[in-house]
Amino acid sequence: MRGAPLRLAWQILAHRRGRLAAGSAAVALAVLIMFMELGFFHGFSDSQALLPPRFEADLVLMDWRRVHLNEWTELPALRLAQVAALPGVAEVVPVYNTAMTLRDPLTRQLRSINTLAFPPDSQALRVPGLAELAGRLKVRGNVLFDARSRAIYGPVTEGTLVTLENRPPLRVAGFFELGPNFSHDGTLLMGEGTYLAATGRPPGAPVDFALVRLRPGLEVATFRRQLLAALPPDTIALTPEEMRRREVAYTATVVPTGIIFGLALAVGFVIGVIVCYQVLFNEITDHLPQFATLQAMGFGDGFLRRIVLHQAWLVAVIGFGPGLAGGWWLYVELERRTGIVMEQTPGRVAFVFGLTLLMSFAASLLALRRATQSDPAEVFA
Amino acid sequence: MSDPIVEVRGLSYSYETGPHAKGVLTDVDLTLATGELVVITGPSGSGKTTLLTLIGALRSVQTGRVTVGGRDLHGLDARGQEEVRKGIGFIFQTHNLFDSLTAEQTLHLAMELGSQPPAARGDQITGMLAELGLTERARAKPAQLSVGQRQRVAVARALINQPRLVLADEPTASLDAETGRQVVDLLQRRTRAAGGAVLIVTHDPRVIEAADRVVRLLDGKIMANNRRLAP
Repeated sequence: MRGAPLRLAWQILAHRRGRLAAGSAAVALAVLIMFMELGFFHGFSDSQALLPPRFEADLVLMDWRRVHLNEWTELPALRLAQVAALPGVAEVVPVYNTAMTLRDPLTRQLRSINTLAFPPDSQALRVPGLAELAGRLKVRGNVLFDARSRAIYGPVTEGTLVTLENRPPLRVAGFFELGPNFSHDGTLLMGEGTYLAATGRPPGAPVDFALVRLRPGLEVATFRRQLLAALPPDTIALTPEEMRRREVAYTATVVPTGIIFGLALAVGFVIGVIVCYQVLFNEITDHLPQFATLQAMGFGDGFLRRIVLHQAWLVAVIGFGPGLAGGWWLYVELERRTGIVMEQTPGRVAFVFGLTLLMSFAASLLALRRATQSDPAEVFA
Repeated sequence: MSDPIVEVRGLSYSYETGPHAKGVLTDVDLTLATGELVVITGPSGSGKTTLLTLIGALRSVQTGRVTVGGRDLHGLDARGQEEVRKGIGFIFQTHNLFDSLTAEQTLHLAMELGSQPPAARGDQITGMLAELGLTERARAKPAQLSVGQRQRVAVARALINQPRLVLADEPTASLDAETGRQVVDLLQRRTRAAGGAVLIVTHDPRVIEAADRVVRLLDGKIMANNRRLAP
């Protein structure tokens, strides 16, 4: 009797193709909602955490109050000198990071833009295009423009002059690729000298981050303990991966948008349960006399349960395919329009598939009560 | 004499309990011997269907004793009742076929309750459909069958596992005279071959005519239990 419930479940569903199509389409919509919310959720946190994994460093130092990247607290330049003097340190690279306003050369409109600066020879960032063009940052007044910035800054080509606030114009000397996030529409890279001149800061001004590179063979954890013991408690040191994870966790749990997307994911799940339940409920209600007849013939409650469970996952699996395809298309379209990367990684696909199966299982548990309500004795009534 | 297929002794049943309980069946005695086709008649509300459902292990016995194939039904739990029902062929007034299953698939599903391996079922299904004149309709779904054909599929479903006991509620109600006679003949032939018995609730004179015994119920009591005399 092993295959009989699955066979019967499929035969019942397939008999009314229109109803099956409508039910699966509704499940697909729930799957699509879950993919979208998961995509927004991860796209939001991933894009907010774009920068840390691109730092070329064993450890990144920052002010202890900087609990996330957009908390603009600075680190005294003295700390860099103190760390550079520690045994085992190969190099300490200052990184400046601030949001500034860029004037559109055509419309004269002001747009916020993220700026990152570091010594041009320091290879501070690992981003496509930078290694080849880093030398151009040595020329005072040259900047590199993020080719994946949102198209709100007007037409920017190599040689375009851009104006940051009321400073002298800067020349776009090339392009690199980083990508926008929910805080910034684009990024400008510049050499340390250009940055200090553009912001009117003196040499030795506080920095936003300090990238620490260790000599080969030195264990990061051991060095970090020594480093923190040697510095006052105003400095924290994280690996780039720890920074990324901290940023993702902060975005997911503290920032309201992350919580909203998480809740919306739950709403998608609940919609799926309701839709799936409705499909099953209708199928069961239509077949109550048949189910009662099966019971009268000697088929047990377990047989009926398996029919309903099989129907549930069949509807879910059929609906998952179009939901997955729709999600993929929307991810591509949204990335094209917003620049925010939304990826359907195997892990995320598996997660939504798991939620879809859980959704169908929950719906079948609710619907089972209806199926086992059939009284076989009533068949003779 | 072989053991009876069904033995009912002192059976009483009420749908309500307490001081206002009104009995549907009162002190009913009935025996179905091997090879017998017994008909129950009686007006509406006389307890015919209740008696059928109690013998069919579809309800729990309250008072009295019911044995089917030597198994006492009193105190059986749901699983025990299911086991008893697997050995009974049921024919209902409404056929209750799955609209998604062909006649052949309906019989395959019913045979899931039997002991035959799937590979050996085909010939038996073909033979059963042929006996009921449904060979040409084997791949037809209920919507493609006439009312009579649907009822014949329901009869085939009840007989396919060669049960020793068949319980039927107006099995010929939707059949024409010729088909009705064929169905009754088949019921008789098949159950006799299987060493079983048939209990039918009906008012159809064609069935009454074919019965070995006619039991008349009135207000939950057996008023007559007559062996039908051969014409």
